[in-house]
Amino acid sequence: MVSSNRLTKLLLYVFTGMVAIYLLLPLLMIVMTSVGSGSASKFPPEGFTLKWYANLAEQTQFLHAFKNSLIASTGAVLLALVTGTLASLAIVQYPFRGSGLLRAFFVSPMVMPKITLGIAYLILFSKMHIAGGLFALILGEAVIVLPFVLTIVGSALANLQPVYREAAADMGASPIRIFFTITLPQLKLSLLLSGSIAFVFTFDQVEAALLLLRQDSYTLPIQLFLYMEKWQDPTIAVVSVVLIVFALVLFLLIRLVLRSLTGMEGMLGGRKKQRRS
Amino acid sequence: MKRVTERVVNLYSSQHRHWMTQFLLLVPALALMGVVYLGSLLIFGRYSFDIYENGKLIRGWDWASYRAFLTDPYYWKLIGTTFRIAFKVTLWSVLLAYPLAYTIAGLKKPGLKQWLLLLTFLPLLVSAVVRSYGWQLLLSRQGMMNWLFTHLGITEEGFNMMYNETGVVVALVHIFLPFMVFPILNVLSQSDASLKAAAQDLGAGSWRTFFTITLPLSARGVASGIQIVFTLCLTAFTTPQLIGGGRVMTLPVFIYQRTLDTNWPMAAVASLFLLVSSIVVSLIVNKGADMLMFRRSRKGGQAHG
Repeated sequence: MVSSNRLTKLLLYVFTGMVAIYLLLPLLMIVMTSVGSGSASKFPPEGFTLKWYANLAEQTQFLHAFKNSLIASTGAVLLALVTGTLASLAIVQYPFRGSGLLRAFFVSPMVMPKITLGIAYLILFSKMHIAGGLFALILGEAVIVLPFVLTIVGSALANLQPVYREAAADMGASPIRIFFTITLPQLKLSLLLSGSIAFVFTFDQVEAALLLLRQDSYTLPIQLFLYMEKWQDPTIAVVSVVLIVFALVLFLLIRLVLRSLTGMEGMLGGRKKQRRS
Repeated sequence: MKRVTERVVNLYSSQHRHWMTQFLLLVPALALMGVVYLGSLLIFGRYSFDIYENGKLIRGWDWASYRAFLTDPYYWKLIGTTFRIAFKVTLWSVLLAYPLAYTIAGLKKPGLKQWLLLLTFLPLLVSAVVRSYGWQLLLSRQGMMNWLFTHLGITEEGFNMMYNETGVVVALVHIFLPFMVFPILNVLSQSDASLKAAAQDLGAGSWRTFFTITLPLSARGVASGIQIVFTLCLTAFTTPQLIGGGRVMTLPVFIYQRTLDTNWPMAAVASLFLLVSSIVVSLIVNKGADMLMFRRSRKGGQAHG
């Protein structure tokens, strides 16, 4: 009995190890290719070189695309944070008839196929004569990430204790002051959390951006996507490595910030439970 | 102006509740969602009734695209491929994710657990384009997989894994696996350990405990994982396009191509089909999980009596 238990456990660990390798392999392969001197798709790589990294400096289109990505993602996230927080205030603190329906409508982009949205945007924005630029993309992406803000900030708002607000009101604080000194600080964490999830999400968007953008406003995933369809050289591997490092740094930064804010663990656990149920 | 801003913030003191306040709070979101989201979907739906002839769009009210989409066997083949890939990916994801989630949930050491969690969710942080590129490198003719296979003597001249369904499935499983692990892990780590202990006290072996206690309790998590992965697969575009290289035709790839040749009516019809089918799949999976749970609980009741 005990030995069969052990065997099961061992098998499980071996299996887990294999899945782990499967998960990591593509990323390791990219790193390996970025420093290999042979052609991109040949294994094993023939030698070690940093020339592709040097080559990247000349590929200004990637840097430009990175800048576009930053602008578009930041814009979309800020827009979604402001509109989403205000809407959650109205929906959560003052439920009215049909507020549940309205919330469902606001969250519905989550289940919408992104390619459908991308094409719907293309048609609408061409009619409005703003297709091609980053402004259109920001509007479109904000819709896509609004559900994250609404879900996370909304549940945080629902968990807020009204005592602090009432106390402040009793002491004669003006409503504006109450909002900025009591409510907003309490929402800080959820704003950060939903903002960072939304940022990572928009930074990656291909479907919505691919058809919408003009060449000079390509974002990084689009530039990579189109480059990959045409060429097969290790420059993509180098850009990918830079992107992987960027994602890691972002992840560690968010973790660091979350850790420095006290009371995070409990809040996160509570919220998770709520969302799943 | 000051009055307006005060009203916006006034919702904190309930005596100042006013419909204006709510309305003003909702205006930005309503404007964004109303114009961009609803507006684009409506105009998009309208285009599905236009007529596309010889590369030109003609305004009109016609069911031509709907009719073509639903009757032409070519489109059914397309739908078949899309669903087959989604089905394969979902199946493999469950098979890989469940043991992984089970191991993570069972780990006592927080250090190892954290590492495994990081490893599982790390791919999520990396763009789908980048991950597809990684798989392109691995699966290509001269790539690592074929190198491995030929050196192990499994094949003489290597397999074709790029530009076909196999490659697309392998890469998609990689991309969606975290979405399957998360819900399963969630129910597994929330389920009551005392139930397991009770079953073992009553003399159930570890396999029996697993099949009568752990697995049924985690059905809900598996179901939501299936829901997420299956719908994501139906609508996945980047990976099928890049790994399939235009040779694996799924609905999203098809929609993209129709958009490029401005056949907007057909793109709209196919998109609507995609949307409806992902909603239907979600409903079916939900219903299925409910029925499964219900039967379980009834059985439990009978055993008690």
